[in-house]
Amino acid sequence: MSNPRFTELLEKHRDRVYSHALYCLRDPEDAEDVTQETFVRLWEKQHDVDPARVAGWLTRVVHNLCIDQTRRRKTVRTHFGRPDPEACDTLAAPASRANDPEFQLALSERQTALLDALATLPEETRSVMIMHYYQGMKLQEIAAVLDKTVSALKVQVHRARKSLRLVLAPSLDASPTARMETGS
Amino acid sequence: MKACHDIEIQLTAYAAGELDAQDAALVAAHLAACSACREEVARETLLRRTMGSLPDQPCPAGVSRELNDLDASRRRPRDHRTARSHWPGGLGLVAAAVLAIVLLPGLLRQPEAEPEVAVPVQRWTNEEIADARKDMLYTLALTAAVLDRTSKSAMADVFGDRIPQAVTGSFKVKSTTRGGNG
Repeated sequence: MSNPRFTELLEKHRDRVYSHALYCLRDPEDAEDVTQETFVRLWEKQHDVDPARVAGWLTRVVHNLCIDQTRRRKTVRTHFGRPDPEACDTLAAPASRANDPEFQLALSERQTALLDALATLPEETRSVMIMHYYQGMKLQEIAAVLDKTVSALKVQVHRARKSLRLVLAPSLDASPTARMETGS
Repeated sequence: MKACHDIEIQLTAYAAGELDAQDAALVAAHLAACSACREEVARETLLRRTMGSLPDQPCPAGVSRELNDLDASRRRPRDHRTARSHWPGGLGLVAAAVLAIVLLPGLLRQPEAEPEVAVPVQRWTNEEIADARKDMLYTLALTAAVLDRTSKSAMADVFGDRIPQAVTGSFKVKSTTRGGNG
C-alpha cells in the first residue's frame, strides 16, 4: 500500500529536483540517478523530515548528490591518464543534450552557451547559481539550506558572474559559443 | 561613495530585491554615477532573465514509476548508478582473471603422492618439457589477451563509445611493453 504523503511529495517536487540535477550535471542518466537517490533518501527519512521544510531538505540533498556525482566523474578522468582536452569536454557533459533536437528547441542559443559556461564553474557554485537564478530561491533561503552566510553567497555569486561575463555581454547575440571557444 | 567592488558584490541581492532600504539606496546612488557598475547590473539582469527562463524538465516517467513502486513495495529500487560506476561488468572479468591466475596452478597441480621409498624419481623428457613450456606460454598469452580485452571493456563501461585518445594510447604502450618483455 502506498504512502499518500510520499506520493504527493514526489509529484510536487520531482520535476524541480530532476531539472536541478539535469542543469547541474547535463547528463540525463546521471540526473535520473540523482533524482532517484534523492527521493529514496526522502522515503527513508520521511518521518524525520519536517513537512514545512521538505523543499529545502530536497534541495540540500540534490545539491550534495550533484557535487558527489561531478567529483566522481572527475576522479574517473584523473585515474585514466593525462587528460585529452577534447575527451574532457565530452566527459564534462558526456551525454549532453546539446545534440538532442527536442531539448535544443526548448533552449535559446544564449541559454545553451550559458549552460556550457556554467559547466566550467566549481560544482558547488554551479548548484548555487541554479538555486538562485533558475529556481528563484532567495540568497537567504539558500544560505539556510546550505548552512552558509548570505555574505559568503554574495561573494560566490559575484565571482561566478564575473566568470560568465563573456556570455553575458548584452550585445552578444551572434554566436556566444564560438566566442567562448576562441576565447575572444 | 562606496568602491565599485563593494557595490558589485551587492548587485545580486539588489536585483533580487533582497537588500534593505538603506543598502538599496546606497547601491542606487552609486549606479547613478558609475557606468561600469550599470553594465554589471545589465549582466546581472541578463543572467537572471536567461536562467530564469530555462524550461522545467519533466522527470522521466521511468524514474517516477520506480519511485512509486518503491513506495508501494517499501524496498529500495535497483541502484543502476552504483552498478554502473562502482563495479563495471568488465571489472568482474578482471577479478575472475586474477582469481584464475592465483588459483589455477593449485587446481592443476597433481595431488602429492605418498612418499614411496623404492620408487625411482620420474624424469621429464626434453619433449615433455618443451610441450609444458608451450602450454605455459599459451596460457600466459591467453591471460594477457583476456586482461587487455577486459580492461577495454571496463573502459567502455566508464566512457561509453568515447574512449579518450590518451587512454587508448596508454593501452597500446602497455601492450607493446608486455610483448617486448615476453
